[in-house]
Amino acid sequence: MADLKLAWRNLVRYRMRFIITLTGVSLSLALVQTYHNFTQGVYSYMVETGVRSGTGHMAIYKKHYLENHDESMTFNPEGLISGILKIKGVSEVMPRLYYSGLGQSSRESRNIFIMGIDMEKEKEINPFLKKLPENTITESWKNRDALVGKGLLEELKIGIGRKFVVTIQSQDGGLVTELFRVGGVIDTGIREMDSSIVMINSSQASEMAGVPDDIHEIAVVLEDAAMAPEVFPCIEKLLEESPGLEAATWEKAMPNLFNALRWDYVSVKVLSYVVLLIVTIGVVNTLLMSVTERYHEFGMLRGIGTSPFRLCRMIMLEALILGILAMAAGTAVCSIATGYLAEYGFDLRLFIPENLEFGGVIFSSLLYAEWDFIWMAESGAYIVFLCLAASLYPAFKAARVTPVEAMRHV
Amino acid sequence: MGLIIMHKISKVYDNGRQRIKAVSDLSLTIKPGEFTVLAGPSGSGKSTVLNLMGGLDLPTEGSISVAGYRIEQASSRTLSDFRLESIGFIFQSFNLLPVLTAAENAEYVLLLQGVDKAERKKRVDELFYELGMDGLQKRMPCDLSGGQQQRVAIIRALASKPELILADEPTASLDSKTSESLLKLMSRLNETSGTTFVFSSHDPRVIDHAKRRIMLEDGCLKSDSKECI
Repeated sequence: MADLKLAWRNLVRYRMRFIITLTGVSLSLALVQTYHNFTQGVYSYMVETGVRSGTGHMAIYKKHYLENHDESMTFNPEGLISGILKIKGVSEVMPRLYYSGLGQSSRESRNIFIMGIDMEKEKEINPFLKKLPENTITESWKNRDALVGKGLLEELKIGIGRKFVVTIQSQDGGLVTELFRVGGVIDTGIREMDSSIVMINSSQASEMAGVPDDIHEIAVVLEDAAMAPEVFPCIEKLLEESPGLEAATWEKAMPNLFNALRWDYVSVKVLSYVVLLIVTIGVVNTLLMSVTERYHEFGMLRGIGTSPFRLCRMIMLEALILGILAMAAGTAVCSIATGYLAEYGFDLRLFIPENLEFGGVIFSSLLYAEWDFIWMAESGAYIVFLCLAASLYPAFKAARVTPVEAMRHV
Repeated sequence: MGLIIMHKISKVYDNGRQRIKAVSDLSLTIKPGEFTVLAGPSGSGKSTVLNLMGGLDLPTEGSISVAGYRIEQASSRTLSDFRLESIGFIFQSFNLLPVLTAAENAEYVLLLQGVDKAERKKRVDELFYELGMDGLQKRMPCDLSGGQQQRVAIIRALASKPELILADEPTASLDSKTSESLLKLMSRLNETSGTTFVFSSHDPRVIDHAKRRIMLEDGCLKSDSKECI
């Protein structure tokens, strides 16, 4: 206790230096923690948007479909969908088909990517469809209606209500052509997707392909992404009766998004540690200055019987106090910032006027932070550890003081 | 049996450019309870001898035994323990910790010795009273006069009840009146507690207070009043 008191008083002895160092360390920690919480929020948003517009939290395919996306690898989901819906934690199940084909208007033709969907289910889940104006998807959605990407619509030089022709290759090798009407415009913000996507009813798509009622994918959306570890084994068990099928988590089904997030996560982590490491150099500098200025004092302390170990411990205690205070102050600042960003979000339009795509997902202009208490605790502990590590050399230097030489030092 | 036995001690400082012989072939014995001054002009080796007696410095040649400790053979850790248990230091420039109060400074050595809080307070309060410092316990060193700071340093040295108190020019930073009262105090403590005092000085008024006067010159023993007694 007495050592703690002495360490504290030594620390605040050079008040301005102490305040500057503490502020620097605390703000750096707050920055690292808040940035991490913000990116966690962005990741969650991306995953949620990605899974809802993509494969769901997990998906079911014919075995090896993910390796080559062979259009012929369809399956009949009869009985399977109702079984999956009974699993606790499953929110919605969406059957889908994917084909490449040709879209033709009276004036232009373009390569298109056809997505067969169940409109009723999809419009409640898929963020691209949620964005559609009310008058585009109506209750009178019919088999011949199609949602067309904004860019494709411009390229085909047609508008809502106009007709166009879709041609795909059926599974028997022949070309099948059907006439569709533009029922709505999809504006994902991803240029490649907007200039090629056509969404039609899954039943229409399967009929065109010559495999009525078949699909390529069952996208499973969960009530909560955190329930995936419990739901996935249940689905795998269900698939034991369908040996030709396999289940895949979104990480496997959407490797682009997963790898993009993973790469970004690693970058953020490395950057965080580098920032904290730079802070450590500042702490080393402060402690070294403090030790050098008190060189004479250490000589006196050694002279009256203070052991090298005790001197070493005193310097380390000073660093420990600094680290704990920085952890508390930094975490407090981070909590305020994260609280604000989680409630009100951060508007990217201040910096980026256009939509931004990352890992195949479109960013909303308003992004929110998400609390990550484990990381906050980890980084707080890391800063305390770094402060202690930063004190090792100064403490060692103080402990090695020769009394008579140090007392000559002015 | 001597409390301090120095045998053929030499101390050479070598800074790479020059060798300075601070103490040369010095042999001394100081018995328990003595009140001794090491006198001599500046550069005569007084402080070096005190540092060697206190284990703050090690001899280049010769042997020193203080309170049963062989200084030249002891490890850094042993020397720390030796200084903590057996020696009380009073430095010329007081050397109080500026971040501690007068009482906390005085208690510091007791704290290192592991003396409990109540006992620390009792001993220090008694000494504060005895040295006319009662009521100043909570003052910071910067709020005390030079004489008061030196008294705190003396209390710190006495509080642990060491066998030996080494004082390096204890009155050099004080006015004559304060110096006089401090010397009387040290003399009284020597008589009442039997604590051995060895201090260095080149001030004749201070030297006169000592029962034994050891004169040094150029690191050598010039005279020792004990031999005349």
